[in-house]
Order: sequence, then C-alpha cells, then structure tokens
Amino acid sequence: MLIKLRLLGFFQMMLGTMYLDIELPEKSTAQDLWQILVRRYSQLQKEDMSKIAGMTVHGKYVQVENWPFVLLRNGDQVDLFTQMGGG
Amino acid sequence: MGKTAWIDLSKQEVRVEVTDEQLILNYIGSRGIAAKILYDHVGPEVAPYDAENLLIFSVGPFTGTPWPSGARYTVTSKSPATGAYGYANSSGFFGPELKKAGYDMVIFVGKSKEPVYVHIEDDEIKIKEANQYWGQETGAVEKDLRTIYPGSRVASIGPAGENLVVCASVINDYGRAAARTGMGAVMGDKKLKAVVVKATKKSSTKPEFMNVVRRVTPLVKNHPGAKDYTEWGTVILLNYKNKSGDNPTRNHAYGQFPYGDELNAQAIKKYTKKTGGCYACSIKCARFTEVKDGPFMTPLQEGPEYETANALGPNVWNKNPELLIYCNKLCNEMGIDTISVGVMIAFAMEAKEKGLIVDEQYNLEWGNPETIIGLIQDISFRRGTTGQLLADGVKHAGEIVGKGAERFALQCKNVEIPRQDGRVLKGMALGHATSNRGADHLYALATLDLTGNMEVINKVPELAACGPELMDTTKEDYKAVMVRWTEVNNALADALGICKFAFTETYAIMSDDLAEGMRALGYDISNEDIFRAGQRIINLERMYNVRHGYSKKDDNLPTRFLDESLQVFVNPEDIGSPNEKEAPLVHSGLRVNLEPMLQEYYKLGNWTPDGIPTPERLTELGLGEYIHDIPNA
Repeated sequence: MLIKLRLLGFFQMMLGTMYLDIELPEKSTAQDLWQILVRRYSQLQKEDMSKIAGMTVHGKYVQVENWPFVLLRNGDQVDLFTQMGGG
Repeated sequence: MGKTAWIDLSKQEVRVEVTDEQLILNYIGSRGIAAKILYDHVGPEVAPYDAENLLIFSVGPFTGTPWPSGARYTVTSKSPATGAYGYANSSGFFGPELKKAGYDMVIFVGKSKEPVYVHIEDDEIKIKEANQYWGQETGAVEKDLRTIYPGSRVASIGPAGENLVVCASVINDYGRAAARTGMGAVMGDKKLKAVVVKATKKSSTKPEFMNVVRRVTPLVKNHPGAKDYTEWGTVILLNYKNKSGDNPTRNHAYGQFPYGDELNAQAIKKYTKKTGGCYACSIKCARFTEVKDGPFMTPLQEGPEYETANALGPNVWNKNPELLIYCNKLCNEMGIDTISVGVMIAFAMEAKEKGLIVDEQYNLEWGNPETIIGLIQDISFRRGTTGQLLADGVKHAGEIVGKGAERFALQCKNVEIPRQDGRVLKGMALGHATSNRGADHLYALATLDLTGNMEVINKVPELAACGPELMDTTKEDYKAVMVRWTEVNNALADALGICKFAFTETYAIMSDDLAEGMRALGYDISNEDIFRAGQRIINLERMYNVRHGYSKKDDNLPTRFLDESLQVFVNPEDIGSPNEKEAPLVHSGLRVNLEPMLQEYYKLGNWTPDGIPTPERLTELGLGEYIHDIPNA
C-alpha cells in the first residue's frame, strides 16, 4: 500500500524534503512507517528522533506511544512533525 | 484596580496613582501599557542615559494569578542598544510578587547620585542606600537582600549594568533574566542596583476567573508540545537543530556543530540535578545544573536554556558542557545577556581568524575557554582590548574594526541575533528583521511551520488560505501572513504576563480564551477587542521607532544571511573534516530573500512600502493621536 507522507518542522529540515510516497506492506502500523524512515535516513539513526515527534493520520493526532497500534491504510495522508520550536 | 508607582530617583520622591482602566483595555498590561507610557513620556529628545528616560517594571492582568504560567514581567525603556524602543521580559517569581503587592507598573525616572535599591512592601516604597552592593555580582546581592527581607523577591543588576554595557540584563530569582536590549544598563545608569518586593496581603481570585483557569489549564498542560517541554526542556532542541541546520555554529558559518554529540541534551542531563518551573507553571521546563568539581566547578543554578547553550556552545565552537554551564552562571552573575555576549565573542574569534584584531591577553581562538570566560568578564567590566571593543554591541565593534568586519557582526537594530538561522527558517528570518526591539526570536515566535501545527492553521482563516509552502520552513512564501498573526498573539502573551510556552508555542489555547479570562476579571473586552489590542501594541511600538527615524532600512538582516549560502550536511561530523567539500548535503544554497517577505508583511499590516503604519491604520486602531509622528504627515 502507498502512504502519502508529509514531513514538517525539523523532519523536513533534516531530511531535505516535505513529501514522500512510502510503500508499506498491508497491515503496517504507524510505527512501521517510522522504522522505514529510520532505516532509510542516517539522520534518524544515531538516537531516537521520535522523542518530540507528533503524527497525524488524516488530520487525527496519534501519540508516539500509540504508533505500534495504529494500522495504516492505502492512501493514508500522514503528517510527521516535531512539536517543539522556540528556545 | 492596580496601582502605578512613579519613583523619581533624582528627587528621591515616590508618587502612587491608580492605574487607568482604559489603559488596560487598550493595551492590556505589562509590555503594552509600558510601551504606551514610554511613548507618551520619552520622546526623541531624550537619550537612553538621560535622567528623563524611564525604566518601567510592569506586570499583566494574569501575572501572579493562577492562570497557567502567569509569571512574567517586563522591563521597558529607551534602549541603549537600539536608541529607540526596548524591553526585556522575565519569569520566575519576581513579577507575581510585584503584582500581589498591588502594582501594575513601577516607573523609575531620574538618576540617583549614589547607588540605591528600592524596597517595596505592599503600599510602602522606600529608596535605600546601596553603596555596599555596588560592584557586586547579582547572586550575592539577591542573597543578602532576601536575608534582610525574608519572603521577598529581588531583581538586580551586576557589573555589566553598572558599567553601562549595552546588553546588560536584569536578573531575578538568581537565574532568570530580563536580558535583551540593555535594560540592565539603564538601571545601572540610574544607579538603581536592585528592586526588592514583598507582598504580605493575601490575594484572592475571582471565582469566575478560576472557572476559566480550570478549563484552560489542562489544555495547556496536556498539549503534546507542552509535555515535551516538561520532559526534555529546551536543550533537546540542540539535538534536532544540529541535524537540521538550525544550530548556528562558528558565528553562523555553519548551521551544524560537528561535536553535536558532545554538547546536546544528553550531555547536559548528566549535570542536571532537578527540574522546576516558574510561578503557576504547569509545564516546568526549567533544568537546574551543577558542576561538582574541576576548573568549571559551578554551584547549582537554573539553566542553561537552548539559546544560551547555542550562544556559548556551537556558536563559539565550545563542545564542553561544563564550560557552558559555568558560563551560564557567570553571565547571570555579571548580569549580561547570554545571547548577545555569545554573538560578540564569536565575532571577536572570527575577526581574529581573519587577521583583523589581536588581543595580548587572549588568543581569541575558537572554543578557547580562557577567551570565552575572560571576555564575558571583560565585556561586563568594560576592560581589556577586546572587552572594551565589544561592550557597546557587535554592530559598533564591526564598525570600529572595519575592513569588512561589519559583514559578520550579526545583529538587527544593534541587537545581537538570537540562536536561529534565518536561512533555514524563513519565518524566523522575517521575525528577526521586523521585531521592534531588534533581532529577536520571541517578538513574533513564528513557529507554526516548525511545529507542524496544522490544527491551529486550520482554525485561522488567513493561515488556512495559504498554500502548502507556508509549512516549508526553507521557503519565503506566506511567512509574512504567519508573522503578522503570531506577532499579535505574542504581544498579548507579554501584555498579559504569561509564558509563551503556555500559549504561542503550542496554541493549545487561543486569544479568545485570553479574552474570556479578561472578562472574568471584570474587563469589558470582546474576543475581537483583545486581538485588536495586540495589533495596537505592535503598531505603537513601530511608531515609537518611526518617531526615532526608523523605517524599512532598519528591518534588515546581517548580510551573511542574505548573500552567503548555508549548507545542511547529512552528517554534521563532516564539517571540518578532510571530506567536507564532498560530503553529502541535505540542503545547499540557502539564503534569505528578505524583500518580498518584507513587502508582503508591510502590505498585510497596512503599512507603507517603507515600513511605516499608514494614517488609516493608526486611526482604525485608535492611535490617531500619533499620526503627526509619521514623517511628512
């Protein structure tokens, strides 16, 4: 299945793109999607970069803790973003 | 109603009056009402160090109440840095104490001949001799005054303020700083070493207000972004920014630090002994650090926060967390702005590297501990070759050094640039350039793109109408729309006396919630009124600067951001390595194209192409009385 992923905030800046189409096996979860990104991009590998990450699936917020339990479907629009900005 | 105290330090006189309610309705409080007082009393004929300049301590309607993070106060004056508008803002417990003592504003005018401190206890205000404290660091002064006056809170200046250093801060609660635009220097010029405040009367909160507080507090506290601040503190930003190109390094030659793994949240956590928060804070982002032994031994202190961690870390090529923690404490003891001093030191190091300056005392090498520590002290005391060069600001230093040094003297409106790189964050670039108090990340705090906050964008019609490029941090498109909206909300945060992490960082609550809180306090103000009040504050501040000759020419960025490209490396470790030129990049050629953003920003605000509010805009905001200050009006 194909997931339409939009990268926002620090994720856009560190991966250099806003939009990715990600092929995932059926019954993949939000966590599987994250793992695909981690495998693909060395920028995400040195430490757990999901610490301050947020995700929405079709605009609905999914907590990091729930990523392993959220099943994705073909054509899902997923936003992945970082939730902190100012210092 | 609250009170306004006028304290004439020349005449040693105190006058207290009831704060005009219309002033609150029009300008809300704290930053807003202080801007109005400054405008009406300190014109272009008054220089920052004239006795006629005012120094205004102010709090907002929510300061000292149970409103989440209602902890903040503002210090406002004609700034020795900008030569025009200036303010700094701090948290902790000083502001709430001032509010509970009954004051909206404490306004200092004149100059004392001898050092003094002012002691406020409820209705009683006394000016007291402070010769014994002059020359002392802030921590010792605060400790002594809090011993003499148990239960009090103290805001004081250190050597930097006494020596009129343009980036001198005001320090309260030992480690909280009203740091920007040199408010500590104005305090020092007035020979005012400290303000001590204590409230003894029990304060009460209206039940209607408590109902609003109970509704909004869980929204603020439970927002995922706020929870991240609770969990990680601001220093986690080092980790993300270093992979993203927004961890300014070596005076912004790079956006990433090759030693980022040695100076990040995990490294600082090793020295973190506890966490904490300010008055009425449900987020509690503060970290308290300690270095137990060694050359950088530092007693338990609050911080460092991200801005300091970058300014005195990657920006000066320092990878040692112990040195950083030591310098954070040193800056607070000296009473000097960590952002500005970090930019100044980086400038000196780059100038030395380029062969433009020498110093017999310090080697001025990147990352050199003796140089960093020595210059923090020397700038604060206006001593030494390089310390004296830098004490009037990096812009001044650039002009003195010349030979192109102006290019890497990184400032806007003579205020040193904060710890973002506008080349990778275009919304921040516009915010830095247009801020009415000089280079500043908090004036507009345009982070909707950076935090991916589609939930809020979808709630606000003008933001929802923007194209998808709004969310691309590296593109200029639509950033003016974002800045116009966020600057108003941030003005309201400052005016109400609340922390931006509890409002504009997440927008877990919106300005309508603030208006509801104001109505619960008894103010007749609509949702539209409060947003308009935020716009009024921005326009009044802009007009104050216009009155001092400011215009578009001053809404600028360092040339480094405009015509030197920033690259973002896949692996920051490649920076400085033999493979740097061939290293894989995430972004290249990033620069700021400022002009189109500026013109859109001006147009959206109904300002002229030269950055000046139109008479029509001033009239619709109820600022018609200031139309005559428009050039050629």
